[in-house]
Amino acid sequence: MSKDIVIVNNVYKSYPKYKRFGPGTCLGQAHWILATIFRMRKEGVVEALKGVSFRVKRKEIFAIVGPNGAGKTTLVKCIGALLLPDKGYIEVDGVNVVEEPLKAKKRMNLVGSGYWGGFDWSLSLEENLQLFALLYGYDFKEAKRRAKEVLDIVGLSHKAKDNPTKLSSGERQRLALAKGFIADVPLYLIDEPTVGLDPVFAKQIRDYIKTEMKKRGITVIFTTHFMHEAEYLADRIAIIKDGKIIALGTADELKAKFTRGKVVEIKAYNVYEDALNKIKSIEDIIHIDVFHRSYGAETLLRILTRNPLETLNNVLDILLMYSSTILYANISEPTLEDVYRAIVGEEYG
Amino acid sequence: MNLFKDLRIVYYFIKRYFRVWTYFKVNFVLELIQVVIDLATMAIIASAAGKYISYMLKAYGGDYFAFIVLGLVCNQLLSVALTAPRSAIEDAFWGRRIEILFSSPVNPTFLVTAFSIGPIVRESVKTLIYLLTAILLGLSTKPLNILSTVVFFTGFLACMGIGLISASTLYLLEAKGGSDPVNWIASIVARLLSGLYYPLNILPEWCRWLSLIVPHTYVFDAERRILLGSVSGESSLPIHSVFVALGFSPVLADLVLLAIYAGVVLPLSYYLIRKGFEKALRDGRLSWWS
Repeated sequence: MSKDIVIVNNVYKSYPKYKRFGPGTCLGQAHWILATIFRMRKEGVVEALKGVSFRVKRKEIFAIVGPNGAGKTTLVKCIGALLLPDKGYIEVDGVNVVEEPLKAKKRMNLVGSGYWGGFDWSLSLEENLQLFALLYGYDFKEAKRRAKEVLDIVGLSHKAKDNPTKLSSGERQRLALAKGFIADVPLYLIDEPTVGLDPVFAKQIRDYIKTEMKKRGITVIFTTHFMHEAEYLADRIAIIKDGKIIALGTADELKAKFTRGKVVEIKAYNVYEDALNKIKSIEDIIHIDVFHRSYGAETLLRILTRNPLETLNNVLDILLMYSSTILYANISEPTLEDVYRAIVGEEYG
Repeated sequence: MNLFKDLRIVYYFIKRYFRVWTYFKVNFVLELIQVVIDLATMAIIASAAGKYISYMLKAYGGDYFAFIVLGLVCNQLLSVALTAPRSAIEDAFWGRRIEILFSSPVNPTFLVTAFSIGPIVRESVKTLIYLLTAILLGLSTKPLNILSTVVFFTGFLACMGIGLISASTLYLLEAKGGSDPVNWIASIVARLLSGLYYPLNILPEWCRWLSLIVPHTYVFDAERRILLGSVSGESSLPIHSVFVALGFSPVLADLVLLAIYAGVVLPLSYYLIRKGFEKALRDGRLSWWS
């Protein structure tokens, strides 16, 4: 058995961009003729993945982070056999995903963001989950047991007989996660696991992934926009931008590699625009975040810099020169969010 | 997957379909009443016009009411075989269920077939009501036998094949937004030329040849001969003469043609469905929001 459960090698994926025809041009039964004509008018392609390669070890928790439209979901769907790559090789647990998608799907479970929308509103929560368990090949008795168990895990057992339309948006996301937990498979692919969840339940889900799934030896690949989530959960993190993986490693490795510096935090009253412009021109600064509170009276500056002491002194000098009142100053280690901002760039914020 | 587990999955699809069907209770009752009203209308037309056209129905026993009821019963079930696969996929496509189902290890062709069972059961229920009402109104046929059952199921499989081809156009031709070219053509030919409401011999020769492109024509002819007239007797479809020359009865000719039809269309339909899904997975258009 290979030590790598997922192998992604030089994967390319592009989507054709077709000219669309607007609403109101539908011709009923002849609509398909119009659709075919317009679909022949290609307006180029959207390159979602451009030669992505990485490997995920067994029992590893692996995060994929990146700005909107970077290719995270496309990558997860390619691994989950819901998209065919144009080029490249994807293997899950020794199975070629492109050549044997059904065999590969038996070894993984994918939870997409917004998957709650795909649950059948005419079936109850437990019936929906029983159906998914049956699709994974479990017998009816086992399907019922599993549905009950996963509803307990996601805290929805009291709503087992309700249909999905009666759930709040957070509960729907939990239901989507329940679908992910229904099968005993070695690999879970989760697209944004905690999006739309309240902080308490988001923590419960993170803890479940970190402790229970780790204990059961399950490999998890997840995408997220929350850097603290990636840092807390993942053994390794891949940062993807414009369809390419631009950084890969543990949180500490990424911090060491991409942020040769520290974070200077300063809280002050009355920080004026001129002062901010001067601060931004300090040479050693890699990245600066400005947060205003109390209608702009209080400002928090979070500065990632190569030379923390000198930057702190320079910033304090500037602020005092502009008659700002310093409330607090500190030097700390950079977080993954700082790394992300340094790598991905300001334009993606 | 074994058969028992597959049936369990089909059971869930039927269950959800029936809940959707019966969700608006009054509509559901009215739909069933509509079946009786449709039949009563046909009975009135048959009693008024029957005596004028019964001489054209010699091969089918001469009773226009029985002729038309049998045609409509078969048509109801054949039509659902034509439309169910496509409407099931379209329902899952617009209802956003298709991607989540596809994320599971399930064969796409099985999924489409399983989706289609709900509408088929629904039309079977309506057909049963139709038949019972017809019997109350005086329908008299010979008892069902193996030959009529085999003919019907062969025709049903052939229609299911066309239905699956129609379903494949959803992805292969992007035939969405109310267009369904395959089904549209098949339904028009079936309604106009297959002999549903009138015997084929009142149509011009070229129409009779055109009628051979749908399985309905063979099913109507064979079922009416088996249950109302006689298995042998004069041929009514232009292609019958070829088979009669070989010593086949018209019913056997219908059955052989239906078997060839199903044998060609079914594998083709499964191939096209697979290709359609492959295209959707390549284009990223499996679901409407993906």
